[in-house]
Amino acid sequence: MAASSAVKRQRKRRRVDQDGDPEFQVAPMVDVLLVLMLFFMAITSTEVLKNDKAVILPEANHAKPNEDNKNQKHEITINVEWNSFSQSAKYVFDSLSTTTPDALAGPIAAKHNADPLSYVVIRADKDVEYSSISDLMNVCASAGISSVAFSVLMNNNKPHPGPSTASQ
Amino acid sequence: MAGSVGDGEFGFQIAPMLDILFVLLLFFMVTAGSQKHEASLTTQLPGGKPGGDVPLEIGIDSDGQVSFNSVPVGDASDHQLAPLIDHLAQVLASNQAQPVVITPMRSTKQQRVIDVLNACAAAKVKNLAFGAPPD
Repeated sequence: MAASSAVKRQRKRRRVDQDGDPEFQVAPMVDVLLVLMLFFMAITSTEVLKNDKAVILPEANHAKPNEDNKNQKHEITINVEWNSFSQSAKYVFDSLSTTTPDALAGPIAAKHNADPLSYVVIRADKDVEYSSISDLMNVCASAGISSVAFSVLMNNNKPHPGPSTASQ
Repeated sequence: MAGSVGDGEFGFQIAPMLDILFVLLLFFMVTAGSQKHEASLTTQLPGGKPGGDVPLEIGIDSDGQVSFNSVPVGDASDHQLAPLIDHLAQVLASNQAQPVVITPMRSTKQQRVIDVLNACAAAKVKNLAFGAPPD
């Protein structure tokens, strides 16, 4: 049975070839599709899993793009959401969500001990009050972290005037 | 396909697999397209003076008014802060390592703090730190 069906398929293929019709190759198309899908999965999941969509970042145009940062693997990302009704900040770090930054001291210190090159990236909402950021930075300092970075959205549409002395 | 099943073989269904692949591909393409380009502004943590020199003090009021060594500069609604950039550039021209300390009030909004940090980045301030907010 199997042999007869194989012979039928072969005959069919030969007939198509003799007709001169180019046969649609499904297998290479599937390969290309899979590669494209892997590519888009990779570029979305690394950022999406780490970032909090509830945070509306402030805008700046002299910041260093994250793509140029070679130390991204050492980042400890902390999201700071702002609740305008209760006028309070909520800190989100990995799966931990808290309104008191002191609760983050232990997990941040543990991460910093595991990777001494680590630094903190604060993704704070543009409406967060500085007191919330200051408290968080104090917690980071007590965990032994020496520098922090603030996440911003690149705003290339509005050109920022550089220093007048530098532009001349 | 149905013929192959009739032969007793379970044929591999390529068409539904392609459908699923297309849907997944579309999903990830749309998700990737909606992503925004993020960047970062790096600074030192509060505590201690960043250098031996007397630091320049940049204050930010709760309403967004920026002051340079206690002298107001620019407008509270001015996001570009060109006068501040000019002041900083003039000082840094003589001393590249001049420390700068930003001291916002407790209720200052993050966007305003980032505006000042952005101005410092524009003026190429190398020695930057945050001061403890006044109560």
